[in-house]
Amino acid sequence: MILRRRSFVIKRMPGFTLLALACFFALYMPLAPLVVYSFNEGNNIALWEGFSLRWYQAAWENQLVQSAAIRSIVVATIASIIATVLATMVALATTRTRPYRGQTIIYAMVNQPLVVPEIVTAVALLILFALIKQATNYHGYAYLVIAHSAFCIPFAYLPIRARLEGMDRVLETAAADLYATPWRAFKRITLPLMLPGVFAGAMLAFVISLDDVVITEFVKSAGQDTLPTYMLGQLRRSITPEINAISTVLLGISVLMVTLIFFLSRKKTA
Amino acid sequence: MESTVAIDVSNVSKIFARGTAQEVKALDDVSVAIFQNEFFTLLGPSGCGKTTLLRLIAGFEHATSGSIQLDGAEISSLAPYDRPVNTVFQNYALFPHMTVAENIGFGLEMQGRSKTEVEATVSEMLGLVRMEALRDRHIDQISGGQQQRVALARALAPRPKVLLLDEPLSALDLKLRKEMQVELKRLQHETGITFVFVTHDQEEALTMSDRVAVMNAGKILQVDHPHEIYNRPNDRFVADFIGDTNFIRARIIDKDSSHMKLDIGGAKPVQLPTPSDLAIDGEITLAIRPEQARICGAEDAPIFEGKLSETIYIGTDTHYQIDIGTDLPFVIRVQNTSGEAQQLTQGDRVAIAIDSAVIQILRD
Amino acid sequence: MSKTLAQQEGLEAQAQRKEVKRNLLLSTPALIVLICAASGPLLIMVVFSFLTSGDYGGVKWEWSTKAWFQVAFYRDIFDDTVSIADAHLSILWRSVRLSFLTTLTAFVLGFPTAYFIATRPPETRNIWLFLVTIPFWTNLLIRTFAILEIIRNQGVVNTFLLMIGAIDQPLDMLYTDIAILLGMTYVYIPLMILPIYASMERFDFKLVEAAYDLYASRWKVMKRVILPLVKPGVVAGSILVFIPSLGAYVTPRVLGGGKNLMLGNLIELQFGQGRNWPLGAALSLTLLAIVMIALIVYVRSAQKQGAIHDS
Repeated sequence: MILRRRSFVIKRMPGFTLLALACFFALYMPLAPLVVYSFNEGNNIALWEGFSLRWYQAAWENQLVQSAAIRSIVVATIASIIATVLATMVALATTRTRPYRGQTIIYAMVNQPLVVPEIVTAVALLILFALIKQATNYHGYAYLVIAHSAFCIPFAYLPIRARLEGMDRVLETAAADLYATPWRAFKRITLPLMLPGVFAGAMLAFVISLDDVVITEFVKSAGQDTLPTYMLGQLRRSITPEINAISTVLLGISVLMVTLIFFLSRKKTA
Repeated sequence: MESTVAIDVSNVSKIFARGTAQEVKALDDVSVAIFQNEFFTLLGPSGCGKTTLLRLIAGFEHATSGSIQLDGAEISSLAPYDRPVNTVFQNYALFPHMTVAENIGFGLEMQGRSKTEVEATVSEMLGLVRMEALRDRHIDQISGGQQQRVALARALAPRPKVLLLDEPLSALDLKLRKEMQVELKRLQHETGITFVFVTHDQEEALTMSDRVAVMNAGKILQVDHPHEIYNRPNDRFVADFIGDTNFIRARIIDKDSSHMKLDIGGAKPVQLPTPSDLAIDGEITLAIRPEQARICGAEDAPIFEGKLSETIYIGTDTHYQIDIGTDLPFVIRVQNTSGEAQQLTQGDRVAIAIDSAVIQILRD
Repeated sequence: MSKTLAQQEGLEAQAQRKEVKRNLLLSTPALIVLICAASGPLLIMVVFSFLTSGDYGGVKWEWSTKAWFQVAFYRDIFDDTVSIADAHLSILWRSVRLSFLTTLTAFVLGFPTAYFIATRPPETRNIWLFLVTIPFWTNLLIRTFAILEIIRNQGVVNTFLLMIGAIDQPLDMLYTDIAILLGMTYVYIPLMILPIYASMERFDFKLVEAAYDLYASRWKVMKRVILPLVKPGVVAGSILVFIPSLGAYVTPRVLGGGKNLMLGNLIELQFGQGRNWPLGAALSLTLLAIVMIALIVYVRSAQKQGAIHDS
């Protein structure tokens, strides 16, 4: 009789692998019908009637979808640029420096949008902008842009800060030793080395802005839909596979962005 | 050797975190003059202040008090980019996003030199450190030893008046380190630039330097040629830090102009000729290098007598530990090829002869 | 020609002050934007909560604490009796309950997942991380919609069950508390996984070897060695799930319908049909207060048990 011992694997915890794989499955499983049925010929979300791109076409030709998409992209682009520039400046001001008095307050204010629930900010902005709208009668883009810029700042800030903290200050010291004034040292040394973090921050801010639902829903004026708020409205009225089509496109953009960020962060960790 | 002063450090002190609980006095009223075209080394254990002094000369820190002059001009208030001084950092601090050539040319670019001049100087520097083949490589593609030479070339390219080197060889393996020691010496001779070298390795300091400053706890203890530092340490710390030393505490029992009697705790008092420049009295410490003493016969006028307690064979040398009545055994070092190694057994009575001129007498 | 002590110190202090000034200057533009569109509006909201609601929405600039009163109490308009606003409190209770359950479920599923990723060989680890990150960056609405598609009456699950004959009538899964719980867990679980993973990645598995060497069982090792050291990640993950759940708006709106309201929906109501802006403001501030308290409690308990909280 041979007694065989199962080899003892240090890192194995019973049931964990199963749960983890179940979790991954559960994360992606709901997305599958969403994507698959966007290619459905028929109207019924659960009845497959053949492959077709008609819903993509319908969405493409839908005026409302067009204007919402354009608005989403424009706002996201402007807001992410503003947020990234501002976040870069704040990151430079709060990292790799001797602790000074205002630092914690600045840090708290920058991270506020992460801690305060979105609906609270949304309501507060609604009230503020209502007052301004009453006073100035301005109903344009600016509200969306400034609201998005504000809550995108912490998302741009975090990767930039992480990148900066990984940079040794001795490089700037070496640059100064080699006759570079502080501004030139920043331009030739700090900035180029910081750039991957800045790009990651910009992309994060862009995605966050593109995806925002709550704040945009509260802050927008009538007829100023972004893609997510248009979809929210549709969900309340009639659910057609057009929504699946738009969702699939947005999903594709997210996947693209995440892949890009992953490649960027892998490249510069040499 | 010229004796014009390149760097004049006067009464410099540096206190970090002044007024807080973490206050640290890194440099305590330090003064030293470094001459032009010399290879000058700051030697000492970690925390002695040598790197702080280097950083003050470079301009990375402000002195708390005192002044630093370069070629007669006060530079304490100048920013590092306004000082004609360049540094080779301990971890090289090469710019990771630039090639070897771009790194070397950086200082020249910042000085506003023309592209052709930069190109020419970079080529010259690459030749000087023998790295021509690697000029377009990126920093992460070259080895540690090669990075070290790039750091050197980068610091030398702008032709500074003084080159500061902060333990640049500490990250290299032994063989490479010895090669670089020779390289650095050669470079200093060829360029004629004043080198200020920081290290904690006393052997390195002794082999490379024209003069050495031994530091401890923020103070400079002795500044001298390596030969003097080794043979005439003026301080117990210096004697202990450099090489091996036998320390013997003694009390002067009797003294006249030719001889003095010392009590070293043994059975018999010890007799030594009185040195002409003896400045201290009472409790003193004798410092004797192990290789400067020898085992002798009774007719050789021995200074110490004792019993052999241990013989240790170390390939090139043999160490004899002799109990002469003090706390620690007296160690004699004999080279195994010199034929002086004798057949002795443990417990033998031995006599030790020392040329009295090499005995250092130190304050206790 | 050495400078006096005061002069030398002046140089260093001067350099430090210049640096601080520069830092403050650099931060100013971001702070201005944040004050205008993040912090500032909160203050205005506080003011609004003390005003009277206007007849057609908006406010009348008359001071009153009526809104705050209405958060928890209800004054009958006919016989002027005061009673507890059951509707509000049940909504509040649902919000807290569901957020707590969401956090718990996310932890039960997310912890093993983070552990799994952290124990993969370095080459494959990035792929798993990548797979977790994608849902994280997918629109919350899309993910809620995906769940909707699965559980509604003509959705995937029901159609499948009907097809195989397991049931005759479609199961009513939508518009229930369970639907909201399912949706929120699905949406927020990456926020639980990633911080725990970050903590696990730094964990030295040699400690586990040492524990096994000292006769510990698997569960003991988990309880006494791994969990305590991964606590900062667990705390961070819990906060990152609990807070958005508490203030959730989209998910309960899509999956809960008009009946199973959470705090976020109640707040929105006051700016829509309810036409009670001051009440909406007061409710928002109440939500904010609960969130802040939860944060402080979490952080305190993490610090007390020795977990080092790094921001």
